[in-house]
Amino acid sequence: MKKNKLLITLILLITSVFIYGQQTISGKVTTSDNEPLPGVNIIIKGTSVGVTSDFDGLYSIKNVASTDILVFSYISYKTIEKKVGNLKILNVVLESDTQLLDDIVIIGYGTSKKSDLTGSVSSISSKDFKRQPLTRVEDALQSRAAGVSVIRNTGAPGGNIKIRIRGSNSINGNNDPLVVIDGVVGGELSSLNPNDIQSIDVLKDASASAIYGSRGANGVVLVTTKKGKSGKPQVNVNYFTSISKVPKKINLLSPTEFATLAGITVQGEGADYQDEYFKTAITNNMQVSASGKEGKLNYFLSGNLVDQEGIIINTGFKRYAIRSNLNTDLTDKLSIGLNIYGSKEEAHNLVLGGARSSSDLRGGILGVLAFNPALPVRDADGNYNLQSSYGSILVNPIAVMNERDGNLVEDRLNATLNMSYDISDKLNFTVLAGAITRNSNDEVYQGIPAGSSIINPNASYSSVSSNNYQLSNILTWTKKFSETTTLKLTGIYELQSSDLKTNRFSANGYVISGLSEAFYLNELAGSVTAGSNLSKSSLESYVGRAELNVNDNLLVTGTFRIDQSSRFRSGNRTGYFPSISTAYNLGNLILKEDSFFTGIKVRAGYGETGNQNVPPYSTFSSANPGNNYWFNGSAINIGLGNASLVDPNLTWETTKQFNAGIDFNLVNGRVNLSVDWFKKNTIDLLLDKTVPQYLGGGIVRTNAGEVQNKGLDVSISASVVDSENFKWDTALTLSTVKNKVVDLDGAEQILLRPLIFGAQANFYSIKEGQPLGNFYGYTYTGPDASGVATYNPELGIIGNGTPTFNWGFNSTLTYKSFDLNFLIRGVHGFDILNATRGAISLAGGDVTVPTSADILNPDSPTSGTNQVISTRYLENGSFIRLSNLSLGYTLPNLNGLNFKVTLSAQNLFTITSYKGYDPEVSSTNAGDDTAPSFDFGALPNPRTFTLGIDINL
Amino acid sequence: MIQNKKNNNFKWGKIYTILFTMFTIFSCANLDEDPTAVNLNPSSLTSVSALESLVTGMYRNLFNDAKWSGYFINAYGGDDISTHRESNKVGFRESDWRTQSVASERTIDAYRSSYLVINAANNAINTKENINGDKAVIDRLIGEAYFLRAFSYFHLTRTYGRVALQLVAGATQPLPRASFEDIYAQIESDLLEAEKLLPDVYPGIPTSGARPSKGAAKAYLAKLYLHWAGYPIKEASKYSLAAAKAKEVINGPYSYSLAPNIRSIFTVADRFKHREGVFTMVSCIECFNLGVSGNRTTGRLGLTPNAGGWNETYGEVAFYDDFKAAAIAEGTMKRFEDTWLNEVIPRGTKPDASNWKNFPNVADRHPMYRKIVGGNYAETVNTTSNNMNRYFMRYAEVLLIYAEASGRAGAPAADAWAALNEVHARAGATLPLTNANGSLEELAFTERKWELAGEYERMYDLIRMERLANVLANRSPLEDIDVWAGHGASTNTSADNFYFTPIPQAEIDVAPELIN
Repeated sequence: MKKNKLLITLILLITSVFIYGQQTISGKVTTSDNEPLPGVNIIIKGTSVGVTSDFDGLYSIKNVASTDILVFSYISYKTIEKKVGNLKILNVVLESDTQLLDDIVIIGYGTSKKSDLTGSVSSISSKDFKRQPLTRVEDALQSRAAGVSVIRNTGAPGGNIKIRIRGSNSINGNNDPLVVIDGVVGGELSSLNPNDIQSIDVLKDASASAIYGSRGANGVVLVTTKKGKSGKPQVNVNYFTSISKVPKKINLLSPTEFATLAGITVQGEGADYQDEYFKTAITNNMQVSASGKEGKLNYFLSGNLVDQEGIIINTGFKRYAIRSNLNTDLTDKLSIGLNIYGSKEEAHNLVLGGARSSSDLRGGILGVLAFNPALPVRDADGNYNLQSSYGSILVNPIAVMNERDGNLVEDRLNATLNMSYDISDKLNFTVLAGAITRNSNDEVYQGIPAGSSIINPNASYSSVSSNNYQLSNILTWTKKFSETTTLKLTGIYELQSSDLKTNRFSANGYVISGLSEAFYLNELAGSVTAGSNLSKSSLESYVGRAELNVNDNLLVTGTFRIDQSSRFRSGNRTGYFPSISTAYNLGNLILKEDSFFTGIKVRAGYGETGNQNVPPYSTFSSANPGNNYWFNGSAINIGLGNASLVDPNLTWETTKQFNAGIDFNLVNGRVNLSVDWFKKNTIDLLLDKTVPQYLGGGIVRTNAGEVQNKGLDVSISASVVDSENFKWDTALTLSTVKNKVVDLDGAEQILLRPLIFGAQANFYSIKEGQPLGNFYGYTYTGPDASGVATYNPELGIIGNGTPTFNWGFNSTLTYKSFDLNFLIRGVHGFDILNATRGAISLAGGDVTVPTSADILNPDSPTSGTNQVISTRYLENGSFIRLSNLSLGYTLPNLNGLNFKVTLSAQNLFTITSYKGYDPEVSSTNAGDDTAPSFDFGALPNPRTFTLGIDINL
Repeated sequence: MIQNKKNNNFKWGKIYTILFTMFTIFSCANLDEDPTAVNLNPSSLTSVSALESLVTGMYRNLFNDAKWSGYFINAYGGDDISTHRESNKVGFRESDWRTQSVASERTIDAYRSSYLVINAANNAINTKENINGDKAVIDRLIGEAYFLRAFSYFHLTRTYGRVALQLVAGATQPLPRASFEDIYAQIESDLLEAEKLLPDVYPGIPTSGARPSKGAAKAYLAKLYLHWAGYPIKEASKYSLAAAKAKEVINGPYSYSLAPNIRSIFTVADRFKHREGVFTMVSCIECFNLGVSGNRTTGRLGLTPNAGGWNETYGEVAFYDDFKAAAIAEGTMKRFEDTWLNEVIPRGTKPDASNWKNFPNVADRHPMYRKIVGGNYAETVNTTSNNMNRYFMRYAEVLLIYAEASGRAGAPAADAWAALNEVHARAGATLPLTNANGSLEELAFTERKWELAGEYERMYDLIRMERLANVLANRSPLEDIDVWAGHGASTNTSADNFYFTPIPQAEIDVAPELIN
């Protein structure tokens, strides 16, 4: 600052020699939020004479002629010009140039101007989701990017969220998109503090994601965290608190009705097990950040605390996170940045990422719905009624949950060092070194273990220690042939390695019962088994990219990546992933100056990406330990299981994608419309083939088959009203995906069941010509005259669980100090197998007497086999949901403090014909794409009301 | 200032160079996986202890499914056991009625476990040449592999009829279902091999039968021949082989003997205090996790709901009545009392088990097996997983095979009558059975009915003698599941799944070659 003032004084001195007899003008530069804006350049148009605004946004400029025009400019704000006239004081409000700010898109190993993009990239910036109270970054993505589906698979706090970009490619490989945080591959969105996010860019088509080669097939989510900006230091405090409830109750038999059906009597008043199990949950979220620039150092520092209760008794989630993002230009040529993020997450009684509510898959919510309502939770002496022969035969789920103490604690440290050196005007060399460290401990004590037997307490422990290192060397050469014609070449050499260690034990049969939270007394266990595992993998890559811009009209990007993965054996290890894409700005050619259209851009691209998501050592057979036996009834003899079958020739799964898109810019940029069509074919699928029992059983993972996804992504954004007091911004995204299995390598059909569901029959079908996620089961033909459930004996495909159409409508209305935001989204074109309803509607499985009120319907069968996997329990899953509704009020500026109060509701209502708790959730793990939409006691998403305060100073 | 900047430049440039060099040095990726730290390469298992572990794992594979009633699914067709009229027992009911389909519940347990055992046995047998060490130990372990392969094929063919005959570990070629003749011949060949390799008495185990001995191999040969002579192959010449093998067991140095009563062998406390087990599955709820390492075919699930039970496996009405009549007539009430619950059960509504015909709730009206609930019900009455033994074969059966096979072979020696009467006497009879009571083979056949009641054997006796339809046609009109469903069991002997449980749909899905 001092230096600048000196310089300005000098300039003023010099200029004053030449200019005389003129006025002095002064004033204040502020933002539209009425914040002072320091560092604004104010020059007299057509000269080099000027000043900058000071710390309080004040400026003063001497010797100005009344005919002069002052130009106010500041980076990322719209430049404005004002005539001096006779004014002595000229206060100026600079509007932030969001278009300009958003113009920079992160494309992987570099950035691009949005107008220069050739591939399909969706960008979301912090302003898009700042009106929604968020504890999870994934929620920010939901329905805000066309082609990106974000499914809240479970209502458990800290549970897994399913993100799919343009459908599912892989049958057995992982379909999760690659997450890249500040250039480092392999982060977890779930662990991030949403307030740290500057922008999220999603690379959807292969021409964009091919730069990530073997890991880009499922799309890439690039997260950029905030940096300190020059200007006044900014401090932000954000706090919200919310209450959550289960959105509905399932209609069950009353205790009396149930007792009549079972031929028993009600003990006491019985119990409403849903009321006993669900509760009103409170969440507190506190976020503090400070950012700015001190000398040469830009800083962004933040802290976050989330304390969330689950809507199920005795569950919850906490996250503590801190971040320090520092960057500095050490010299004109050398800049260096260091981002450090540390977090601790604590999930209380979270089972399998929330896919289940109990360690016994028949327990939890299923146990709650099926438990004998004629039996109170506790007997007259206050002891738990642990079991009943009527209803669910499992141990009382309230007792199990109350006496469970499961704590999953995950510590993470992400560190990214970024050094950039301009070797010359044209040549830049950047080194990016990143490390992601994760350590987790899962300690579970079950005072009353779940299951069908009353057994003594047990404890289990597992730890994961994972390290992920990345080193990227990036060389960029930029040549400007003219003002508008440039060529940019990028070369990258990258190394990545990870190691993962796990240790676990289970301690069974505590000799003393009745202890609570006794994990650390596991020495009391009668038997202890232990196990551990280690896996290491590495990837070595060479990448080249050329970006050509001819006159801002023709844009061409080509990339080529070579990946060598340790997961495959020598000879099958190297993958080549090319892409080419081009775009043409038609606007300059065909549009008149005053046209309704301000710009039209057409894009087309083709690329190949890979998937290497198989565990390390997948090509090596192993005889599995853990098959111990006890010949003498007391001591353990160590036993080995049968060796797994492997395919030593396993190699990359490859996705070939073609994308074509068109971008319209209308009404002076107030309306933007983008339409993208894509077709991607995934070949050499990483496929688990079920091996017949007589050939050894189990599965063999091999490369076979082909899956195709086709679809449209449409996004429209509009600034509908943009007046001084009233603004209305709205955005609509629409995506369709049509999935089809093209080839199964000769197999007519592969039948399978969800990974977590060990039932005897398979009930999902993968069949040529059909989409993934087909349910395979019986067609229900109603009860016969004596009330016996009957089915068509032919098994077949009865429905599909993969949504084909997603949309989201996001609107923000601002009137003076009020703003109103709502997000409505819809998911359509899929079925849900409501096995929750199935389990309680007729005796079968672990339910000896049904509890559903449906049994009283005259058309309900009263006996016969309860085929849960049948059309009887298949339901249309389509839903429209008001995901967020918030009303904010910004208080008048108070001594430099800005207060904003927000009242909001999430998941306020859902329009659906689905009879279960929630059409969005599934009991299959979020990663299980071949078995979607299976509700077998899945945890519903809560309805939430939130009050938030935002303070800026 | 300018000077300063230059300095800066120089200093940082140097550090940068150092850092860059450092990264470059460390930048060499090792892309060859080394799984040895975590994987046990099957071909590296060449020691005796490795073979011991493979064989132990084979038993665990058997245990994992045989601990469930579903492993014995086909046996529910017998006239000794029935199941709950509703609840989750539809798989058992369909077997009881002989109306199973490929989609029936609980048909996978026996199938899966048998082939897992067979695969492990194939693995051990195929690689025996690679194992270095004490030959006696290797022989014993390989003998067990042959024994368990034979045991599993026998269980498979008794449950599912014709199945694929897989003798190679890691094979990938589809196989058709083999003929009964080929399956029986393979079982015989494996048992003969086991007979050669196994010791007379298995060392270091607390009871006879926890691991097979030479005697066990002979006993299973006898049982195999008994079946061979009956349905489906009906090669009557095998009866004399059955008698001969059984006699070798009885007269051999295998130290089997009858326990003083059958009640005690179905207790936890006395499970190792006898030498009656020929092949026995031992549980250990303390060893791992009660739900995993316990016997789950016994305990509470054998009680009626009014006694807080599950009704999974209980006695049939006519069978109980006949049993009681025979026990009274022959003086074998001791065995009757040891087989059935007949006292007040201190659980639920505390019903008197002997009064089951008058229980208030119709669904509760059937007899309960003491063999299932537990010889000492205080030990096991509250459990659904416990340490009771599962006897795949008891010495009593060897004696009865000898008697019956001798009779059917047409040359009953005096010691064949003695064998029958040894079992009959243990049952409480004071008078021996003689020609005056009937033929030896039919007396032995009937003695098996009482002696092995509720032990999942009766069904196979009815099949091999083709008496199943006859028996099913004469079920008591009080049989609860029939009354409730409004129909009885199928008696159509030519129906597809009358004698055998169909191969489960999950297998047919991936192996359509097994359809025919």
